Amino acid sequence: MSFPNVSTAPARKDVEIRGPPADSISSLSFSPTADFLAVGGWDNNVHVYEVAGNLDSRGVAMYSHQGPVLGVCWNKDGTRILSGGADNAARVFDVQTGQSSQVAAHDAPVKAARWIESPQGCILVTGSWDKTVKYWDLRSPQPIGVVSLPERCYSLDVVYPLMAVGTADRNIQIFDLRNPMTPRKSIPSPLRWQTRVVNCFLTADGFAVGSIEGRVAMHYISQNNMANNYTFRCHRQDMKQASKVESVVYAVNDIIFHPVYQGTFATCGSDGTINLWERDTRTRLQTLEPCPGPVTSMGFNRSGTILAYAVSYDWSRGYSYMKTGHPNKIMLHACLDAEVQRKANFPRAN
Amino acid sequence: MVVCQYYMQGRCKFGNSCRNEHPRDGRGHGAFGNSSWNSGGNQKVPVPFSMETMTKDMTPQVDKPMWPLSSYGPAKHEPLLVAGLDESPEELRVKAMLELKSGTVNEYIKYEAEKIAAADQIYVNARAHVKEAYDQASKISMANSEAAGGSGLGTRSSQSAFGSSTFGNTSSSSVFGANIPSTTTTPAFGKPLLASAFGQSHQQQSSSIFGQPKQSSSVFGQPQPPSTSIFGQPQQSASAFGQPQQSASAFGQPQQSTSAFGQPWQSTSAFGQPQQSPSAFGQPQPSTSAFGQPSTSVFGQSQSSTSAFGQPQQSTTTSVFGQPPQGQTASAFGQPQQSASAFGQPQQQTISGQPQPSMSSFGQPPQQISVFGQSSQPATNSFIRPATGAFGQSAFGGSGTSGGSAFGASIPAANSISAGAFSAFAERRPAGFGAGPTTTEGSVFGQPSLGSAPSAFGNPAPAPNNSNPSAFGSASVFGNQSQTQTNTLSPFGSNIPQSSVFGSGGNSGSAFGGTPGSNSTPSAFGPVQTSSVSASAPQPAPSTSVFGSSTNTPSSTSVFGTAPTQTQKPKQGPPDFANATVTYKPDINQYDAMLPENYLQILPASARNAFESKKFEWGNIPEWIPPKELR
Repeated sequence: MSFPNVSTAPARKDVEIRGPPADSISSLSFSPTADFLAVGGWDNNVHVYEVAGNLDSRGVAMYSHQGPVLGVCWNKDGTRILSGGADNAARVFDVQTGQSSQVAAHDAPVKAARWIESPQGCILVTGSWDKTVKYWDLRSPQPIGVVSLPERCYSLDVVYPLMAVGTADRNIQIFDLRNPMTPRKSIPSPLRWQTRVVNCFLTADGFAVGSIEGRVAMHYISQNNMANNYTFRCHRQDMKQASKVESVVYAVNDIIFHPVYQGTFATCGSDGTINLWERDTRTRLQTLEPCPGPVTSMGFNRSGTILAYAVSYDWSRGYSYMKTGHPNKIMLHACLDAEVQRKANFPRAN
Repeated sequence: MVVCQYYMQGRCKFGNSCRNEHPRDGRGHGAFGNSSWNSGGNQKVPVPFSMETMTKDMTPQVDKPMWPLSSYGPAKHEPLLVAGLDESPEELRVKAMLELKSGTVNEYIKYEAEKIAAADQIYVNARAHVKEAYDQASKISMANSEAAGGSGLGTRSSQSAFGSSTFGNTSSSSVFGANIPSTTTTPAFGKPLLASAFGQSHQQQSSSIFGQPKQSSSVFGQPQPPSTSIFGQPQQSASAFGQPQQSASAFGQPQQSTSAFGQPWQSTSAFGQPQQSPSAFGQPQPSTSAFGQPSTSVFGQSQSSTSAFGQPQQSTTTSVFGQPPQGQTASAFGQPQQSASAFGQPQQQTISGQPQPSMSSFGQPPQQISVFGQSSQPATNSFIRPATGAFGQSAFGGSGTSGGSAFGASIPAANSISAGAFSAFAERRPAGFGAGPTTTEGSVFGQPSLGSAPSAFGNPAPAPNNSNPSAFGSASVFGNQSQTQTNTLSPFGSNIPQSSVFGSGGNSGSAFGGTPGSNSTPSAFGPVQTSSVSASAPQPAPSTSVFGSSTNTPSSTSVFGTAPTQTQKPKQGPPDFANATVTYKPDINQYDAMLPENYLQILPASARNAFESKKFEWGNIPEWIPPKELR
C-alpha cells in the first residue's frame, strides 16, 4: 500500500467492522484458512464476519451461548469454531452446517478453549474457573481427562505439543501434550502481579505472559534457553514527561504472535494502545494509533496482513465505568511490512 | 542509568564512584531499556528484589497496577507474598451480570467496593511495613530456593506460596477451592491481612469442604475408597465430593467398601444425578439416585440407626457438604458455584449408609443447589431450614442423633415405601414421604424445623442457587429405584420410576427448591412452602424439582424450600413447627403416602432427633425422609 515514510493518513486508517456486537468483546480469532473472523462477547453471542483484503467486512453467521462468551478459537482447517463462556460450557460451531452444539461442561465459566491438533486426532481442551482443565473428544459428552489446577484458569494457549496455562495466584502450568495429564512444570509467573494472558510461541518452545502490571515476559521452557528469558514494561502512561518514575500502570490484555514473522508479536492494553514488538531483537516495531477505549483482544489473519483488534470496556475500572456510550467496535488494521518485520534486516521502505 | 558492564563481569575499577549502575542483584534490566532499577540498600541476601523495588511495586502510580484485586510476588518467579487476592476483571463482570439479572446490582457494587478497599488496605499496610514485607519475602524466597535446590528462579516446581499446585491430587481439583497447601511457606501477608477474605484457595484452608479438617485433599477430590464410606470418614483424602471421575464420589460410587451409601447401587450417584452436569456427586448419569435403591437398605442396618448417610451416630457432623470453603459456595456437590449440591458429600459418615447412594443425588451440582451442601453454614442443621430441603432433616447424614437412616433406610420394615430417601427423615416414623400423614408437615425435605439434619437437598447452603436444578434433579435421587422393599430407602418411596427423588420425575426443575425459575432458593428443597412435599413423591408427576419448587407442579417451590420463616437458628431444639411456614399437607404428594406407617418409629433415633430438633446440624443431616409428622 503506501510507503511508510510518506504519511498518508487516510490509506492507513484503520477500518471498523460493520455491525459489531452489542456488548463488550472478550475475544476474537481469525480463521487459519479463510478470511473469517470470529468474535465472542458479553452479549452471549459469537459473530462471524467475512473480511476482505481491502478491509471491507460483513457479518455472515452468529451463534449463541447462554452466557457471555469468554474465548473463541478456530480449528486448524477452519471448519469449526470453539468457544467457551460463562454459561459453564463450551460450544462448537460447524461452519458448513451452521449449527452449534455444546461439547464441554464445567462447574464454573470456561475462560479459554483451544483445539489440540495432535497426531492422534483432534481434541479440545478447556480451562475454567473451576480450577480444572478438561480434555474432550467430540464424540463423547464426558471429558477424556481432567487435570486439576492450583487455581482458577485465567488463560490458556496451545501450540502443539506445548500448552501453557496461566492461573490465578501467579501460577503457570506448562504441559507437554504428549503427556497431557500432568504438567511438565509448574512455575510462579515471571511477573509480579496477576496473570492476564499467556500465548505460546509458534515454535512451541516458549510462551509470552502478560499481566495487569503493564509488563510482558518472554519465557522459554527449556533450561538451555533460560538466558533468553526477559521481561519488559509496556502500556504505561508516563505522568511526568521526563521521568519514568511516575506512571499509570495498565493491564496487558492480549498478546498475539505474527503467523509469518514468528518473532513478531503484538500487545494491547487497557490504555487503548497497541504495540508491535520483535522478540529476539527486543525492539519495538510500531505503536498504532491510540484507541478511545481499552483494547481487549486482537488477532492476526492467516497471512499476517491484517490485524484485527477490539475496542471495548474490559472492566478494568469496575462497574462504575461501564457506561452506555463506551466505544465498542472492532477495527481492522492493514499491516505494513515495516511494522511487522525485524528492523535490523530490512530496509525501512516497504 | 546504564548498567556497568565491568561490574557485571566483576571488575569495575570505579567501584562505588562508577557513573554507571551496579545492579545489586546482578541481573539485567528489562530488555527494553528500562534501566532504572535501583539496587536498593545493602542486600545481604541474594534475592532478586529489594525493599525499594517492593515499595515501588506497591505504590500506586509508580509500579502498582491499576487493577487492584491481585496477588503479588516481589520478583520474577518468586513465590507469592500476598496471596489469595486474585480476582480477574472478567470474574467480576460475570458476577455483576448475574446480579444485574437478579436485580441485586447494589450488592455487587458493594462487593466490588469492599474487595477493592480490602485489597488496597493490604497493600497500604504492606507499604507501610516494607521492612517486614521484605524480610518475609526473603524468607519465602530462600525457603523456596532451598527447596528447589537452587536458584529459585525459574523451574521451580510449583513453588507458589500456596504450595505447589495440587497436582498431586488425583486430578479433579478440589472443587471448593480449598487448596491444600502443601508445605510451602505461607505468604507473608496472606493470612493476617487477607483474612482469607477472598476465599479461594487460601492455603490452609485445608479444611475440606466437608468440614473435616483432616482431609488432606480437596474436598471434592475423590475419596478414593477410604475405608469407610465416603461420608463419614473424615480422614479421607478425597474431597468431599469426590469428583465423579474418581470412583467413589461421595455419593456416587458405591464401590467403596463401605461407600457411603451403602453401595448397593453401584455407583449411582448419590443423588441420582439427574443428568445435570456432573454434579459433585458425580455421576451425571442419571443413575439411580442415591436414595433410590430400595434394595436392602443401604445402610444395611435397618433399624439401626445408621443413617443412610453414613453412620448417623457419629456425629461427625461434618455436613455432607462440608461447608464449602469459604468463598465458594462450595456446594456439596462441588459445584463451585455456589451452592453445594445436595448431597454434597459425604462428609459425615452418616450419609452413606444408605443403601442407595443417596445422598448425593442431589448431586446436581448445577448451580447451587446444594442440597446438602450447603456450604456455608456450619453444620447446624440449618440446612433444612428455610428450605433447604433435601431431605430435610436428617436427610443426610443422619445427623448425629438417631441413626438417621439416610433415606429411609433403616426403615426396616418399611415396606417399600418409597419413602426412601426421605423417609429416612421420617425419623423413625414409618412414614416415608407421604406415608403417614403426619403431622408436622413440612416437606420432607424441607423441614426446616427439624433441627439438625441438614436436609439433603438444599440445605442451607446459602446458596443461592439459582438454578437449582432440582437437587434431585433428574434421576431421582431418591426415588427411583425405590423399588419395593423398602429397605432401600429410596428417598421417595419406592418404585418410583426414576423420577427424581425429589419429585419430579424427570429432571424437572431442581429438586431442591428453587425451581429453575427461582433464583437461588438455596434449599434444595426450595422454598418449600407448599406442599412441596410432593417432592418426595417420586412420581413423575411433580415435575420440577421435588424439592423445590420446581416449576410447575403445584407444590412447586422448593420442596424443601420452605423457607419458612425460620432463619436458621443454629440451635437444636425441639422442632419449632409453629414457625415453619411450610405446612405439611397430608397427601399432598403421593410419596408421603408411601411412607410406611410406622415410619416415624422406624426411623433411626438419630435421624429422628435430627428431625425433631429445630435445625439440622451441619453434617448431621439425616438422610432419611423426614417423617410427615415432623415436617
